[in-house]
Amino acid sequence: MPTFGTAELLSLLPFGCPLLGALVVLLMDPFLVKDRPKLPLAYVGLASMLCAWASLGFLWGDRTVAWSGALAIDRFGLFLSFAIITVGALTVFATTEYARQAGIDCGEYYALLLTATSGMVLLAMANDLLLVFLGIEVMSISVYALAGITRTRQRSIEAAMKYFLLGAFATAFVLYGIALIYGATGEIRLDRIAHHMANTSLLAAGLTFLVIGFGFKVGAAPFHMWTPDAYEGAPASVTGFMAAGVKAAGFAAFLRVLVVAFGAGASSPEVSVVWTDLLWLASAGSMLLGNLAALAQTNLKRMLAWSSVAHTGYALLGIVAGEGRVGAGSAAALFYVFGYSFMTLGPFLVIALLSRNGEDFETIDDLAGLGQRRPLAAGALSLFLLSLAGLPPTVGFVGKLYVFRSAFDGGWIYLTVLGVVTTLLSVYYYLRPIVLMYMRDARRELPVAVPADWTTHFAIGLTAAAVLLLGLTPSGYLDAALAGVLSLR
Amino acid sequence: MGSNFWAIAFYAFLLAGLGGSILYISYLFGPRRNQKRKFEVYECGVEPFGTARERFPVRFYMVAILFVLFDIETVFLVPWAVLYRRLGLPGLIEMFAFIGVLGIGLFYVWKRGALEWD
Repeated sequence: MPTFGTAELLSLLPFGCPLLGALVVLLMDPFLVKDRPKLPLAYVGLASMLCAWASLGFLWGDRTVAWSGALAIDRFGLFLSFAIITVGALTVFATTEYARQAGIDCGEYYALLLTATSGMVLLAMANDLLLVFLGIEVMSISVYALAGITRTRQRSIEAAMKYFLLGAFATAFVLYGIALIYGATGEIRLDRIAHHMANTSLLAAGLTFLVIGFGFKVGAAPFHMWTPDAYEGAPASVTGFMAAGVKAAGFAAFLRVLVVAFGAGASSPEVSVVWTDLLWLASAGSMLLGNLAALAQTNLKRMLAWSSVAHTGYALLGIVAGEGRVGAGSAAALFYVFGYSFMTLGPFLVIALLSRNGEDFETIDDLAGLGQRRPLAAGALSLFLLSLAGLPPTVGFVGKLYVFRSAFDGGWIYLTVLGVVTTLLSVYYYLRPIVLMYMRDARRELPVAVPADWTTHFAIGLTAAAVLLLGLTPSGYLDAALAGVLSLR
Repeated sequence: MGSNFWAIAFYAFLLAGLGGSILYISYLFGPRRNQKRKFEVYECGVEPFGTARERFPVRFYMVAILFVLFDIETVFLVPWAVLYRRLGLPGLIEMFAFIGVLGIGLFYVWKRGALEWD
């Protein structure tokens, strides 16, 4: 018989607030004047995000479980939820002008952003394979619709279709994996699966399916095929949200399932060998393919999509180095994903800022001369690109440093060398836009700032500050990441 | 396990052989009188007209999707009704929250004009 406790109800807040916000937005939308900016909707969305944000601080503390163990309230989930909700709030708040010009300034845009955030937070907190599945679905279905929200643009529809077909396929893998794991252990709670001596070959098969499904969701090679088209076709604001939020939430569930249910402390230790083997291959493939393909891109969004595949590889390297232990490797992966969500949101916000009338400002050559015309936007974009390249004093540097170090300490020497080499390779394509921005004259008329852009400027400023702050004083956040990983046990 | 497997294999072989020989024998001895009418689509006795792959208004799709959405509601309501006493007040609150969310959805599609045919 279900019971309601105060702790139970409070644990609903981090994902309940955005969901409630989405409902309010849908109720309000028909009553707003047509053809006027839908700012009230954005403010409702922002308010619900801030409520969720506050509830995270309230719940921060030692690990507890709620709803018969289905939800885990621990530092791990709350730490990533912090990044997810921040990304969601910044997207809702900062892209109102972009959405108005692209013609997607409707109730559905804000409502879907809010439901997607809700699903992501649920995914980060789920302690039960069924809730993991539910979180994936709430998140993914909202994001499929968001990718195709500019209904009149063919590329947007193409992006949504490709993302939907491959994503639905991946979801089937996740579900089949869950079914096999349940069949092998009779449990869906992650911490109980760990303490269950099970039919190992069945468990390994289920785990393999689960890893493949998650690999699709986070865009790891060889399951990355949807990434470039989906990232390029979706409107810039949605792409930033996808790149930062979906990846953070996907990795949250990935890490939690692997460490809690199939980690080094599990009763069937052979299973951690299964996924380590799968993941180091995926990691190496993602680092190589992502960086090599990004070298050849002329479209900024497409380049960032390939770069996100590469960064998935680096985060996976941390998980591989962790080998399912609650130690440095898993913490490095957690911190990497946390930092990555900010440094990848930034460039897309800049693209949204520079886009006019729904035409995304996206070819790299168009950036020429931006340094003189829009010094602040160019400076912020340079900072984000340097962070993605892993240069100090940004979060990209610290994140890569810790991932590589833990991989090296864990004995994954060749993988570490591959990571360092591909990072050096990546500096080329990250620096090319910067060179164009500062050392070439403008080839086309660059868009000028309008007063309504202030929210975007504000959000870019905040994101840039986060990237710098996390890079200059990382110790507190690294401790939080380590505490988060430790809270999984 | 081995002997069971051979039994199953033998049975499968037997079935395939039986099915194959029946088909082959009726192919050999069966009379064939091919007429144009035999190759037409069977349409419950009505003369077929046009192709089956026709374009139809997207409105049908809309109605079908909405029907599925609100029809699923029953799948959740029936088990809840059966276990109503055991679930008690928390169950009641949960179900009202669920119906409330659905109600907001209904309000939304209504206001957006998805329920109007034209």
